[in-house]
Amino acid sequence: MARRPGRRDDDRQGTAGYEQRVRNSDIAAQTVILPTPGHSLVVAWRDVVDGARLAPVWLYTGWIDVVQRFRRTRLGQFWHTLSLAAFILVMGVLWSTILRQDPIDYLRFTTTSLIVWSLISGLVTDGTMVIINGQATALSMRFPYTAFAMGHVWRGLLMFAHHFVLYILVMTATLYPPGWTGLLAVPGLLLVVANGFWMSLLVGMLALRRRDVIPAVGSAMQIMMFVTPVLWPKELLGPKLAFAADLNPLYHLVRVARDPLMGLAPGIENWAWAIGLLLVGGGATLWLYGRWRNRMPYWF
Amino acid sequence: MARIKVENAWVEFPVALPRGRGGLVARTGGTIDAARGVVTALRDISFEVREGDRLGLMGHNGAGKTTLLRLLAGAYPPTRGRILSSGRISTLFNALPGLATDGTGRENIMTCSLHLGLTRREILRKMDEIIDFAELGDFIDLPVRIYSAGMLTRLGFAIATSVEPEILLLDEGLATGDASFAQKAERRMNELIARASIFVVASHSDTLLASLCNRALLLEHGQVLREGQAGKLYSSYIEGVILAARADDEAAQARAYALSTELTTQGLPVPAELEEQGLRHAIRINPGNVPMLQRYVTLVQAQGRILPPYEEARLMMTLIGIYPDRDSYRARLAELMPAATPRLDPDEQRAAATLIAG
Repeated sequence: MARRPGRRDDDRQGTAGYEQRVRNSDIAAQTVILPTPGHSLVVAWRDVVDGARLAPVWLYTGWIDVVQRFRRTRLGQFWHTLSLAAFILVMGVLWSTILRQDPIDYLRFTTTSLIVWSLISGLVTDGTMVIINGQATALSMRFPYTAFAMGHVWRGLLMFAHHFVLYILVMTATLYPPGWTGLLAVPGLLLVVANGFWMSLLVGMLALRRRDVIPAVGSAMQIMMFVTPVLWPKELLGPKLAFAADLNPLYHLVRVARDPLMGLAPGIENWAWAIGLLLVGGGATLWLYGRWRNRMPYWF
Repeated sequence: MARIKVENAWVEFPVALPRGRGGLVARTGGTIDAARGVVTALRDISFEVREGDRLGLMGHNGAGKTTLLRLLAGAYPPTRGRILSSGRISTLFNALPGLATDGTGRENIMTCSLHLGLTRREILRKMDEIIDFAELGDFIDLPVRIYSAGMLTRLGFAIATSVEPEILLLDEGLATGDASFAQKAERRMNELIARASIFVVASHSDTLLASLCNRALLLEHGQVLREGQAGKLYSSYIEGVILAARADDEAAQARAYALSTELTTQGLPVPAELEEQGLRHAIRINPGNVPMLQRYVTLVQAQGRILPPYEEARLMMTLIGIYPDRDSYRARLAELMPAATPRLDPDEQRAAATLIAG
C-alpha cells in the first residue's frame, strides 16, 4: 500500500472531484498490492491504522447496532441495565448474608464489580463473532478486520454506559462519592478497552478458524466469572489461595477500572499487570493477525 | 490512473476432506487436491485491466467468475502470485456490506454507503435520490426485514450505484424487480459504466456481455480458457462447443443444451447446430420424449443432412414403443439394423431384435 511519490499532485490535474474522493477514502485510492508484502507486524499495524481511519463507519454501525438490537422490545436497550439491576439486587441481599458482608458495602461492591466484569466478559464472549459477522463486508471488498474489533469495543462501551446508570444510582442512594480518585477510572477503562480490542480480535480470529472456539470461550468466561474475585472480595480466598487471584490477569484488569469507581486507588501491581497484558497480548495478537491476514478471507 | 494487474494469481481454499478422495474434477467448480487439503478455485491467472476497459467474465456456474471478482475487489488475497490495483473500487455482489435486517431502509442506506466509502455528508445529500430511485416510498422507515425480495434488490442497486467508483465490479443477477424498474436500472447502469474508468462484469449470459464489454475472459475450472473480444469470443466459444459435441463429447452436448436454453429464455435465435447438439443431450437424458425426437429430426433435415443409422434406429425403437401397431416403423428398423448394429450396445440390439420380431 505504498503511496507513490507525487501521487496527490498528479491527481489534482485529473478528473474533477477526484481530490474530494481521495480525501474520502484514502485507503482505496492508493496502489494496493495483495497479498500485502512486509513483516507480519507491519501488515497488522497498517490494518490498525486503516481500521482507525474507518472510525466513521464503525462508530455509526456500532451505535445503530445497539439501537436496533432492542428496537423490538418495549424497554429498549435498558433491558440489559434492568436485568443486571435485578441480578445485583438479589446477589446483594443473598450473598451479603452468605458471605457475612455488610449489605450496603457489598451492594456497592457487586454493582461496580459486575458492570466492569460485564464489560470485559462481553468484549471477550461476543468477540468470537466479530469477524464471522463481518462476512458480507469482508468478502465484497478489501476491509481491515481490525475495524470489526474496533466497532465491537465501541459497542461494548455503549452498553457499559447503559450499565453505568446503575452505578450512579447505587452510589447516590448509598451516599458514597468516590472523590477525585474516581478520575483514575478513565485510564483504567482505557486499559480495559485497549485490552478488549486485542482480546476480541484474537478470539474473533480463532473462532473464524475453528468454530469450536465460540462455545469454548463462552464457557471459559462463565467459569472465570466465579474464579475471578468479582462476586466476592479477594480476602475470602485466604493467604494460601491468594495466588489464584494474583496470577489472574483478568482480576487486575477488573481492578484498574473498578477500584477508582469505588474511590480506591488501584495498586501499582494492578497497573503493571494491565499494561503488561496489553503489551504482551496485543503484540502477540497483532503478530498472529499479520501472519493470518491473507489467509483469513478463506476461512469464512 | 485506475488499473488492476493480476500476476499468476491462485486462489485455493483450505478444506478438510475425508481420506482417499483426491484429484477429482467436478463437472463444475474447482479442483480438489486432497494431498494438500485445498480446493483450487482459480489457477494461475494473469491479465491486466486498464482505463477504458470493459471486461466481461464468462463461464458456466462454478467456473470461478465470482471468485475472480472477489480477487479483483481485494477480498481474497491470492494464495500464490499477486495482484496490484489502484483506484477506488465499488462492488455490487450478492450481499451488501453492512446490511442489518433489523435496521430501517434509511439506516441501511447510511451503513452500506459508509462501508462503500462515502462520507456521512455525501450520503445525507444523496439520501433522497437513493430513496426515490429505489421506489420505496413510506417503506423506507420500516425495517428491511419486512421488505419483499424485489424491494431489497432495488434498495441494494440504488445504494451500490450511488457511489461513483473508478473501478466497478459487478456480479450478475441484475434481477431488479419488475420490467419498468429493470429499464430504469439499465439506464443508470449504463451511465455508471460510462463514468467508471474500469468496469468488470461476470455473467453467464454471454449475450449480455457482448453488449456491455469490449474484452472478455472465458473461464473454466478456474482457468482462463480463452481471451478476446466479447462478441467474437462468444461465437468462437459456441463453435468450439458444437465441434466438441459433434465428436460425441457428452459434457459439450450438455453445455450446448444449457446454452440453447439460455438463448431461448432471452428470446434470441438459437443456431440450428447448437440446438441439434443440445437435443442429443436432452434425448439421452430423456429417451422417450417424442416432441424432442421430432424436433431433432427436423433440425437435422433442415440442415440438409440425414440421421446416422444408429440414431434413426433408436428413434424408430422409441416410436414403435409408442405406436406398436405401425408396421412401417418395424420395416424401417429392420432395414437400418445392419448399418446401426456396430454403434448400438448389446441391450439395444436385443431390444431391437424383439421389436422387429413383433
